[in-house]
Amino acid sequence: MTSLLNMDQMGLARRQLHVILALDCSGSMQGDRIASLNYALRTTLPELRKVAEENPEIDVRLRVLRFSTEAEWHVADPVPVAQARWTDLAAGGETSMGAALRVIGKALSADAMPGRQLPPVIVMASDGYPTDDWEEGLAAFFASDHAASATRLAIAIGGEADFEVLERFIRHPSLRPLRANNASDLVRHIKWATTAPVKTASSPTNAPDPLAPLAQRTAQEAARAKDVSDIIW
Amino acid sequence: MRTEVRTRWRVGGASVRGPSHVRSGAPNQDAWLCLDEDGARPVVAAVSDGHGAAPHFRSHTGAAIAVRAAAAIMETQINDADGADMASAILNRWRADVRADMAAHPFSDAEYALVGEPPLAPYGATLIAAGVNAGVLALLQIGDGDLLLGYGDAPIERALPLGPALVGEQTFSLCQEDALSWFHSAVLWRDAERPWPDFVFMATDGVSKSFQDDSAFRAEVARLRASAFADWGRFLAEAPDWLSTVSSRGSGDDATLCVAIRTAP
Repeated sequence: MTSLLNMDQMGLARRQLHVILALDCSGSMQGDRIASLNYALRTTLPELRKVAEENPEIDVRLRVLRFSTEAEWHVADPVPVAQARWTDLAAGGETSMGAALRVIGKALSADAMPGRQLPPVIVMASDGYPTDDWEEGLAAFFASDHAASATRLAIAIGGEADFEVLERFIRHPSLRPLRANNASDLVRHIKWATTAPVKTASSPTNAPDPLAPLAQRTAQEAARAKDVSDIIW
Repeated sequence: MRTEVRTRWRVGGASVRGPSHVRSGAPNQDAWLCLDEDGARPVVAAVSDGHGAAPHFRSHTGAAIAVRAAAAIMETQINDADGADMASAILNRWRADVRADMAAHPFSDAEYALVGEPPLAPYGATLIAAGVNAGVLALLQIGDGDLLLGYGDAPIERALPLGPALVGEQTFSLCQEDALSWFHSAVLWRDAERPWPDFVFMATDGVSKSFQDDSAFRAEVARLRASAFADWGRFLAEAPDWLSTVSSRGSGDDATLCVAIRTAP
């Protein structure tokens, strides 16, 4: 009899968790904002790697999409976070958020994400109003297989960000976009938005809303933002 | 941990603590229980998976209560088997025993801070149970995990319909106020006109979520079936190491299985 423990052909695999960052690189991001965004990502990657190491049963993969006049992958293939390295983004052009949503939607198809998956995490960061047909893009996004189950978070950079569009992207009764009024806010929000969902991804729950802890944090940040007087952006 | 009880049906199981719980210091939140056929008593097997999230801080106790409740009800009610009635009786027993445990072990202040709705959420757990005697096979499930049947050389089959898909790690639970509506059950009556299962497999979701897809999982369950029939003692002896490997290379979750094989017509 073959031993039960002869397990070479078993087809075991860790579940993947895709973290997708969609980053506004339009002209209004030039200067301090894009520099802060690059700094935030450079400092976030080591923390994301640490969280992944603490949860080795999850295969955390990172993708990055930049959008300005066009939407294009900055990190095209879902790269294991242990191998992820940051290359700085540059800003310039329009705010084609609709195009970005369509591209992400394609990346969330069952064909693009085969096997057992944890709900992907999508973090959208933007400082302005979309300049293309974002409603059509949003519809295409939510038509994809894994969009509705995804944890969708958003960061509104500065006072001119389109909060309503970001809320429509989040589509959750109590999760709110995080407001980044300055570089310090942006770094903190990027770190939290990319690492917190990974930490909570693998705990079975019967809670009516498993995103409630994340929503609570966004509410706290909203209250905190109201108290901040030194709005720089 | 493993055990074996001998009968026309052989039934046994094993459970291992997942690497993620070893790291965090959490206990094994799964539970399992097998009862041998004895006179009028049927073979019974049950597995339960306590939820791991913070609001379910006594789920390992909830899981242990669940398998005991399932065994107690199936043992006495299998011949009146109506799946819905049995589910209702198990749920009532679980709720009563959970409330008794809460009364005997009141929450600490720190635990109270985690208590929300529903009130029994701290004990939240799934349940899969099967009872079989010479003429009846009763099957029940609430929440995630896998319950599969084998019929000779035919492909392994899922015994009950999958419930509605939930997001991520969400699952239906005994702790829900409307838990009864989320039970699935089936009762098979033996007759000469249709095949009678010779293999019952049940496992918490830490097992199937360790495989790259459902096809790979079912292929491995078929291999388990062959191993169990070829050498039952060796199968049970190796089951804990098999579970440990599955969990460590896959889900990282607690992993528990119960298997029953029919060794006589």
